[in-house]
Amino acid sequence: MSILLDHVVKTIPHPFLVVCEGYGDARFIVKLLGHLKIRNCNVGCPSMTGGHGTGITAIPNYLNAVRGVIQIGTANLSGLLVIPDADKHPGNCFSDICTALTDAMFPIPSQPFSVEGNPMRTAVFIMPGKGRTGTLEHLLWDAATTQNPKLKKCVDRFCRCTGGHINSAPENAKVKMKMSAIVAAHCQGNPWASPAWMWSEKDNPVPIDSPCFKEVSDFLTVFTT
Amino acid sequence: MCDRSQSNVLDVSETAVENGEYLMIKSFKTENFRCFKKIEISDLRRINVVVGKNAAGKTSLLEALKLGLDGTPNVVPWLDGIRGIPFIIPPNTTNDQFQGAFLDFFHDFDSQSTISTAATDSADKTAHVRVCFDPSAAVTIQPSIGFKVPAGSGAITAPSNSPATTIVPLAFQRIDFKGQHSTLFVTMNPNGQLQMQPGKPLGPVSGFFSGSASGGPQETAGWLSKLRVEKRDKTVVEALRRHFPFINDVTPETMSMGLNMVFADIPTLPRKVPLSLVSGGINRLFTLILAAVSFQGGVVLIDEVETGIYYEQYAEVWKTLYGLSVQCDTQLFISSHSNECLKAMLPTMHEHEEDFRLLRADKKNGISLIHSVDGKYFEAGLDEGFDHR
Repeated sequence: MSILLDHVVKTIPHPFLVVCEGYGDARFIVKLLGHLKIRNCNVGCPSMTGGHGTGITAIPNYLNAVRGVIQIGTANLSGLLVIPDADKHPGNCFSDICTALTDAMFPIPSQPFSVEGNPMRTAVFIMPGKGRTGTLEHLLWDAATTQNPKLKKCVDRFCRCTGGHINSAPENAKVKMKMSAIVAAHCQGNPWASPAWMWSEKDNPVPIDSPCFKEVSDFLTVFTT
Repeated sequence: MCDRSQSNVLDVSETAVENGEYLMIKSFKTENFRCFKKIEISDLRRINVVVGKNAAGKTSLLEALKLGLDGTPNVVPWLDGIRGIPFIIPPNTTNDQFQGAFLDFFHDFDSQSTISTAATDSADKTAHVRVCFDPSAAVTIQPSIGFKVPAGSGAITAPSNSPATTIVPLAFQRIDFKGQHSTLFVTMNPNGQLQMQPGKPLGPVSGFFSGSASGGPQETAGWLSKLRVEKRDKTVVEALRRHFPFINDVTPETMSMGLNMVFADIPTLPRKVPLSLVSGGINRLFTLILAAVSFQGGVVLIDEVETGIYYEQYAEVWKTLYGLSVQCDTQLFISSHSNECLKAMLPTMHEHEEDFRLLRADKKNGISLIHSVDGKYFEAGLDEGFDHR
């Protein structure tokens, strides 16, 4: 496994590449691949310092960059998996990714959650999973509250009484806030830790072996096998 | 460093401006040249950026282009010169010594092979150059008498105290963009002196600027003089002033002994000074700007563009070179080792990525090859922090 998150990326050394929307998603996938002992996979995401920023709108540029690395001869990819967030519209998200894949001269899968193509396989896994809307943080929230059911009630109460705009915020923002709150509360050594960075904190509240990650784990296993 | 022969090729070839249309080199291939057994690159653009590790073949690619677009014997000593290799063929040389002077141009030093290049322009016309030792044109030199007898002719040579030498000349078999054939030879004359047949470059015109040397003072002064006559020098001065506003003007001036040099007018100084005295880096950038304007409608080959240029200038240098390339219809092949310099291209590439191409020289299993990357993928990679070198 190789993380393509360095300041300067020189090569894509492994045959499979997972492209995420941002650093937080990429760090989660890296942690999960490590847990699954999958070692033939690169993980990358759009650069925070690039002109296109991060998020799903930056993925087309990142895929173009990957195509450039292939043309330059420093990557020999057998598979490309894109993991965007569903947000409110998983269907739109899939079609946006397909457009980006085509623009970067990659084959497109016929549907999301399907690994297709030979010799070059492509796939789109939409977070948090099949039939759902939302983002990675929904999955992380599920995992944290499954492990510690008391958390849900407690954090919901915290949201109600803490004031600010959280109660009127969109669902995706709400769950990100909740995750940030519980990560900050749990990571004693680093109260600034965020969901993107919590994986290196020993007290992080999200168990990587949570059954909530089964769908994405199974998909990564199929994709890289 | 450009030799004087380039002064003769400043007139744009008819091909380059045929029908008033800008013709650029769209594809290029070469065989048996330097480190290349065979390479083929297509879809070349206005700005072609060449990267790669040391000894991967960046400079060789530029040299191959120079050979393929010029196609005259003069290219040989000139290319050796920019590599710092002395090109010396002593009088009354042996054939082995004669051939030995050219061996480094042949892949694997195989003098039995034929170097070939083919450059195709945007009108789909191709110029070919084949360089080989041609036994059918062999000459026999009788050192003390100086008779020349075609080999195998059965002619009787005059008696001599030293043995006769047969020289197999190096032939440059050329087909220009109009399909006209010609052959030029590097050979020895009856007096045992090296003879390089002059000829017109195949066109479009091509200049070559290596990292270690930027045009000779005489020649850059000559180019600037020519532009002044054509009232095109303003473009060069304005471009230079965008980088270095403290320079008021640059002019070609005649020094003692009749030597010409480019002088800079700096308002704070009481007299003009040679531009090279102001700064080596400024002088080099000036030469590149001058070349991009002077070789209008042609090709300029720039090795290690960042050499001598302060890093804060990189972005502006790309902007200037691209702007001049568009304004003067000059196609550029530019090599660089610097990621900082490459990243500085981004603002210039933005919305013009179709005018750019990345060529990466690489060596795999001992075989030199060139990878080619579309401008938009190159731009995206730079933006996302991928290192293309």
